[in-house]
Order: sequence, then C-alpha cells, then structure tokens
Amino acid sequence: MSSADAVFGRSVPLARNPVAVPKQIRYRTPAVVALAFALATAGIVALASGAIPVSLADLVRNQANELHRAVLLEIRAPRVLLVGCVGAALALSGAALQGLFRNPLADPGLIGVSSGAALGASIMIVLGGGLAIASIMAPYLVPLAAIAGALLVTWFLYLFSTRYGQFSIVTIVLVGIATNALAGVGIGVLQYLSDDAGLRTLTFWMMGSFGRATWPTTTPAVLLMLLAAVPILLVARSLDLLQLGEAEALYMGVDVRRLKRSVVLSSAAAVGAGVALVGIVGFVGLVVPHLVRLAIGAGHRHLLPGAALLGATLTILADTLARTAASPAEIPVSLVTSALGAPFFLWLIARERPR
Amino acid sequence: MTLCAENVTLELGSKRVLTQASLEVVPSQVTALVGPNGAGKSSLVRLLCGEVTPGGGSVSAGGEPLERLGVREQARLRSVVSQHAAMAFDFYVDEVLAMGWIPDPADPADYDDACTEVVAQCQIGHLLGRKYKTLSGGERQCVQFARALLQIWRDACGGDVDVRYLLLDEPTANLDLGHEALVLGLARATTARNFGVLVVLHDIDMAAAFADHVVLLVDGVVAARDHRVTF
Ligand SMILES: Nc1ncnc2c1ncn2[C@@H]1O[C@H](COP(=O)(O)OP(=O)(O)OP(=O)(O)O)[C@@H](O)[C@H]1O
Ligand SMILES: [Mg+2]
Repeated sequence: MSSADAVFGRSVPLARNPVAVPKQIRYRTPAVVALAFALATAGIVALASGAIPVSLADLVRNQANELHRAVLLEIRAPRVLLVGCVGAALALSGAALQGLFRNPLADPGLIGVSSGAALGASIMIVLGGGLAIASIMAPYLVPLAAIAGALLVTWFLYLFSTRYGQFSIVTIVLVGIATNALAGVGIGVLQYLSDDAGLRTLTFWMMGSFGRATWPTTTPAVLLMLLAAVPILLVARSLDLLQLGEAEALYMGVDVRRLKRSVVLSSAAAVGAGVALVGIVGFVGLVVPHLVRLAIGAGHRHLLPGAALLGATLTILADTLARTAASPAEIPVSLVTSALGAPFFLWLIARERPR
Repeated sequence: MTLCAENVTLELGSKRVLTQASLEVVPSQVTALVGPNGAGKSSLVRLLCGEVTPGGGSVSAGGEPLERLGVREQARLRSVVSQHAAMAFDFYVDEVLAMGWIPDPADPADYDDACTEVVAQCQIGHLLGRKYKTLSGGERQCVQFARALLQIWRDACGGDVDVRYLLLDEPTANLDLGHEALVLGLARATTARNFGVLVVLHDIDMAAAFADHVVLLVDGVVAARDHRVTF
C-alpha cells in the first residue's frame, strides 16, 4: 500500500502549510536585540544620574573636570557594571534553575541558593582571617566561599528533588523556607562566634549594597559571572528538551547528568559571585524570567539571553532609583527589587496554582 | 541488526519487575508488546532505550551493547514516544516538534521540509501555533508521535536506508478510532523504510491484526510469543 510513500516519499507534492507562526516566535530575535538596546540606554542613564550631576558629553569631549571624571570612572562605572552583572547573573541563573527544576518558582533567593552563598561568604569573612593566603588571592576568597555555599545548596536541592519526587510548583518554596532558615542558623552562629572586628565586617557586608563597588573588587566578580554565564547559554537547547521530562530528554540525545552538573555549577557560581559582593538581591531571578517568558515564550535559546539582558537593565534601573530617590542618602537596592518583586510573586502563585 | 534485549532481569526498588525477559525489535517489522497493567512493558521499553541498565542479561543494538553507544548516537538510532510526557512551561506545538530534530551541521537536510511533511502526514496542521499545554490528551499524543518521527526522519530521507527504531509506549491510549488507525498506519508505513517498530498495546486483537510479532508479558515474564499469533 502506498502509505509508506505517503510518509516518506518525496513524490507526494505538498503545498507548504501557510502556517501562522505565532507572534511570540516571530518577534523573539528582534525582542532580544531590543533588550540589548534597553540595557545600553539604562547603563547610560545610570552613569549620568546621581548626587553629583555629570555630563557624559563633557567626558567624551574630554572637557570634564577631575572630580567629574573620578566620579564617573572610579565610582559610577564599576558600580553600574557590577549592578548590571549581578542582575544578569541572578536572572540568568533563575531562568536556568527554573528550567532544571522544571518549576517556575525556582528563584535563587526563594529556594535558598542565595542564602547558601551568604553563609559561605560569612564563614570566609569570620573564619578566613586565620588563613594565611597570598593577598592577591584575597578578593577571590569570599566569592569562592560564596560559590561553594551556593553550590552546596543547589546540589542538595537537586538531590532532594530527585530522591523524593519532582517538586510540585509550590513545594519548592517550602523547601526553600527550610533551606533559608538553616542558612540563617549558620549565619547566626557565626555572628555569635566572631570577635568585634569580624562582627563589624560581617554586619557591614550583610547590609548588602552596591555602594562599595570599586574596580579591584568588581573585576574578579564580573569575570566569574561572565565565565559562569557561558555554560548556561550553551545548554539552552538541552534545557528545552528537559521540559518534556528527564527520560524524554535522554531519549532525544541529551546527556542529562552532564546538563544538570553544568547548570548547577554555573548558576551557583553566578549567584555566589554576586552575593559575595553585594549581598542578597531578591526576586530578580523570579520576576525577570517570567516577564521574558510572557513576552517571547519559553524557548531557552531566547529566554536565557533575554533574561540576562532584562535582569541587568531592571537591576541597573532599580539601583539608579535607590541612589537618586532620597539622594544623597541611599535606599538598599534589595528593598527596591523586593518591593516590586514580592507582589509579583503573589500574583504568580495565584496564577500557577494547580487547578 | 536488531534492537534486542536478551534474558534481561530488572529490579526497581525492592520489586522484581522483569525476569529473564527477551525481546527483539526487527527492522522492517512491527513487534507488539501486550500484557496487563504493571506487567513490566514500560520497563522493558526503558531498558531498550538505555534509560535503565538491566541487573542481568544484555541489551544491544545491531550487536553492539547499548552502553557502548553514546546518548546522542542512540537518539539518532531510535526515537521513543513514552506513556507519559510532561511539559513544564508554555511551549508552542511548533517548538515541541522542533525539539525532536537533532541539529547536525554536517547534514543540511531541511527542517522546514521535514516538518511540513510530518505535520501533514500526522494531520496536526491545525495544532500549529497553539500552546502545547492547552492541547487535549489525544492531540498531545499525536504531536509527540510527530516529534518522534522527526527525530529519526533525517536519515530516513537520505538515499541510504539505515536501520532505525521507533518505540511507542501505548501511543494510542488517548486516541479515537480514526487517529488510532492513523498513528498505527504511519508506524506501519515506516517499516517500508527498514524501521523496526515496537508498540505497546493493550488490545490483543488489535495487536494480532497489526503486528508481525506479538509478545505477551505477564508479571515480568514473557508468557507467550509468536509470529502472527492468535491467542
Ligand atoms: N521506579 C520504580 N520503583 C519500584 N517499582 C516500580 C518502579 N517503576 C515501575 N515499578 C513497578 O514495576 C512494575 C512494572 O511497571 P511498568 O510501568 O513497566 O508496567 P506496564 O506494563 O507498563 O504497565 P501499564 O500497562 O500500566 O503501563 C509495576 O508493578 C510498577 O509498580
Ligand atoms: Mg506502561
């Protein structure tokens, strides 16, 4: 019978289906490009605004005075770069972790990855003083400890979720509460253990702000975050396939174990490097991937770069707001992101509730 | 050149799921696997996919032990429609179909052409542009079947005819009679291109009418097998 021909034969002339490609799919590449432009704009706005008004045009024309030059290049530039990278890292890790856990609520802050990083960093701040390590390594120590902490938590969560069945949409947040509490205990114990100087550094660090961004501290963290982003962007297609289920992804040729390892490692590195410098910035990893998904769909090849760009843009804008709203005083950035993110989170829970 | 499980034994948790079971998927032929719920049919399929490794016995493809083939190599050799396919995020049907296509820079076969043909054959054109999660169970199964066809499509369209395997775990469970006939007909049609098809079915009459071989699995043991058997 000719059904074989019907399936495989080239002889059957087929009018190409004039399929209406969904708008989200058609416009997703331009959308990512638009996000890149938005990021550039946000960066320029952030550089130009602040307690001391500085004209970028003057700087470009080399007419800026010394003070303005210093404000721009030594204070604002590293800060904007760091803010952008932290925002991008959080949003990117959020998107990747959501793909890995197949759960839209897997935000590094909510599920405890950020707290794990904070615990790691605190351990290094309080107890690391005793380590005799070359001072060149010093800027890397706290970030590395933070990464180790983030890694521990992410890995634990993953094992937990595979051991006791896939997390339901909301269960992951409950597990996150427990993880956050545990990390809180650890940090509390450290505060209790540390001497006066240690306590001061720790408290100062935990208030978490971008205010202390300088080139020597910013550069290593930014490098780490950029390095961590590469493996995540490379597994975009595998993350797509994973959404059909682990077994199905394997059937379609995804080395699932390697995929998990690289997402866990990279997102922990990205989050850890950020937390080490600026403390915990909440909700970016939750809100941003969702906004991007709403706009351009769930495919990771566009979602991941889109989330990184929008994460950077929004965090830069939040930081600019935090710097300028009560200028010359500064509101903590995490206050701004949480004020915007928490209501969004509630809305999401209502929306994602199993029906 | 077959995909074959020989005397496989499998324990999951503390439960013995398969005992000394053997099954062969032969190119150009359809093998039906039937048996009651919990007999171990899906487990046997998972063994043939290399997802789990047997406690005893061996699984091989074309004489090569499955462990020696890479994950990707296996994906180009066989595709699977599993009994339960989930979907976590809101993907479009178009994207789900594209997931099946394994990109290969060395082979310029055109995805659009392949997709257009498969979509037409599976009669899912009206589902394109819809979100996968909004589809009915039967519609999802049709999309998954099309996706599985696409996964091994490229080599099927090349000049040389390679051996491929299509493993279908209850592909018709949610389908109406018309779509059941369509999917099984398409599966049968692939055998003309040297595909070996394994299909898990519950309807023994249907299996006997449709398949070249029928294997009956009861409690993890192959209780009966025959060529064109009538039970
Ligand atoms: N991970 C597991 N751990 C323990 N037992 C398992 C596991 N997976 C399957 N089983 C058991 O193995 C047996 C065979 O399961 P399998 O899914 O292969 O059955 P099946 O023949 O496909 O059934 P159905 O017709 O319902 O699809 C069942 O009794 C099941 O409970
Ligand atoms: Mg089954």
